[in-house]
Amino acid sequence: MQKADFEKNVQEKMQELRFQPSQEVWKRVEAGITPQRRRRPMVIWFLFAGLLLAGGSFYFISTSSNKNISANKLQQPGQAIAEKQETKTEKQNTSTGTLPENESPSAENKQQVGTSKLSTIDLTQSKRERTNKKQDQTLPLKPNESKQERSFKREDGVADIPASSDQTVVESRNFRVAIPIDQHSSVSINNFGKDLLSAGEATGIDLLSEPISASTATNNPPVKKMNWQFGITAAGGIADLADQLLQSASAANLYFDPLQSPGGGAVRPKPSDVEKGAFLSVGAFANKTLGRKWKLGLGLGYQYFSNTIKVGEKVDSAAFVNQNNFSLDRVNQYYKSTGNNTYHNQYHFISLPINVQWQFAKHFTWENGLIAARMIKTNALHYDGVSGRYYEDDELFNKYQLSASSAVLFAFHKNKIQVGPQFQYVFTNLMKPSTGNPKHLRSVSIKANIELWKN
Amino acid sequence: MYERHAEYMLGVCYRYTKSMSDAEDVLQDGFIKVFKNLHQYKSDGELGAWIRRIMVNTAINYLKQQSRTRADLSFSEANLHPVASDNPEINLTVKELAELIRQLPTGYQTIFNLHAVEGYTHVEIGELLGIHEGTSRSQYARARGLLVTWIKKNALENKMPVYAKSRL
Repeated sequence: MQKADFEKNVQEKMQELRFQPSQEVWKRVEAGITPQRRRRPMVIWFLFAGLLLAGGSFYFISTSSNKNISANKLQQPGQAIAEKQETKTEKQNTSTGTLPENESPSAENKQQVGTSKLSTIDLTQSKRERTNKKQDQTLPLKPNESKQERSFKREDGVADIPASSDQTVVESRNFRVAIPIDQHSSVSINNFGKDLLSAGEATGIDLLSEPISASTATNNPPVKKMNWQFGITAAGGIADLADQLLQSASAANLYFDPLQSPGGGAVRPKPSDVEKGAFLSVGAFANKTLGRKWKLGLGLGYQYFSNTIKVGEKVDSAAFVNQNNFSLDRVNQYYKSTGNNTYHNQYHFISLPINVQWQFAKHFTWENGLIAARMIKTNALHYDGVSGRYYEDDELFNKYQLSASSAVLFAFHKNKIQVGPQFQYVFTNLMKPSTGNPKHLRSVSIKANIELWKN
Repeated sequence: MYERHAEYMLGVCYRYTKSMSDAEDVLQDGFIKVFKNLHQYKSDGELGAWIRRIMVNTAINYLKQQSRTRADLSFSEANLHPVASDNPEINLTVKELAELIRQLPTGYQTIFNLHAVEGYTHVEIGELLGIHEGTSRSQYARARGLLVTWIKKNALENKMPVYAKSRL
């Protein structure tokens, strides 16, 4: 029998070796392959909730705004906007219980409307009424004079305020009301309607049933709000590699090592620790105002993550490397594991951020975002724990990454510049599942948003 | 798939371990890897061979994780065994031969299985275990020598070693 025959004989016999596994094995296998629900970090749910809230708020604001505009068109006779401006003269005159001369019918057009563009309507009537009611509490009544009569006497001399070009003037007895056509003023319209009705109740006038005529209406375009802001954004800081959100990557898990036993018989070099590297992000953004304190932002940018490791000398010759338990790959060059040369693992991404800003204090905004990114280039090294070689292989990376970011920004220079700290965590795995090495990039940086123009 | 391959794969795992319990643990881990990575299987190769390779890798991995095997899975030259170059006839049943292989020190056992049964070259074994090719060769030669000695002894006495027999 030849030597090869011995091995062949052993091989043939071992091919016949079979055992019936116990039932427990399949049960455990079945349990092991059943997909388990992974607990998402709370921050992810928070961001989704923020986006949902922002979207809902935007929808609600848009919807209610349209409804109010429709309602206002139908109810214009009974509604008007209150301009809460009164001249000091008015106040003084009211307080003394006498009317100034310029409020007499002959003195029309002498009184000026306030300077605010949106405050186009005069409601001196109702305000004066309220003021008079206060006055009535202190001034004694003349004999045979009721409060209502005195009020009317005073209101007989109400000034005729010239309406601005954006107004429809509605006349009702002695006072004149101007209704703005500005569609963005729905909230004010509602408030004014209440004021007007309360004034009517106080004076005993049914404002809704009184004949009212619209005297003027212009076709001037409505006043536009600055709903969109455009600008550039940049961030710089440090980046590193993490096992989980708040857990830095351990060197022992950085590589494929089928034997995974430091105390084992085979002496194998340990991989280098992963040290922090630089983080950089630049891009452009467009923010949409959702409300007084909310903004929704979209953008396009570039992100750069890096970290550093220590490697040995570079070897320009072909070698086999173990990518995982199942596949062996051939590389044309690699780095030895023993050495003290610093190597920068660099990751370049094109990013599409979407974020929500909430202004929680006068100059402070909390910005939370989701960032979809596409890896465009990397020179990062993988480590084969068996052969102790570092090697490059782009194919082992997940090209598409999704991350979450959170920043607290301080605004200055008329809110055109925002600066503050930002934390970003890439919650998709950096490497493909086949590597069995789920690492995540993360960064801490200082972020700046610079608004360049509004629309 | 499990029903079709489980018995044979348990035999593979059995050769690399020291007990049926360990073999079943390896089988379990191996099949979980198989099912989770089934998408990586390329249809141009035989499925059984692919599963078998996973089982072998899982077994080696498992051995190193077991602290009690660390000392055994040493590839040092401290405990030298004689190298036998002759080729005895194997008049053993499949299970008896498997049991003899399992009596080898874990390091010998692993290398013998990888080379003689799986057909790995010493270069590949060196890559897989992180040892020098020469170490793999010498370890294999000593494992083979020890196994040949036992087979010859068994042939003479027409019985298996007592410690091996007790495990069947």
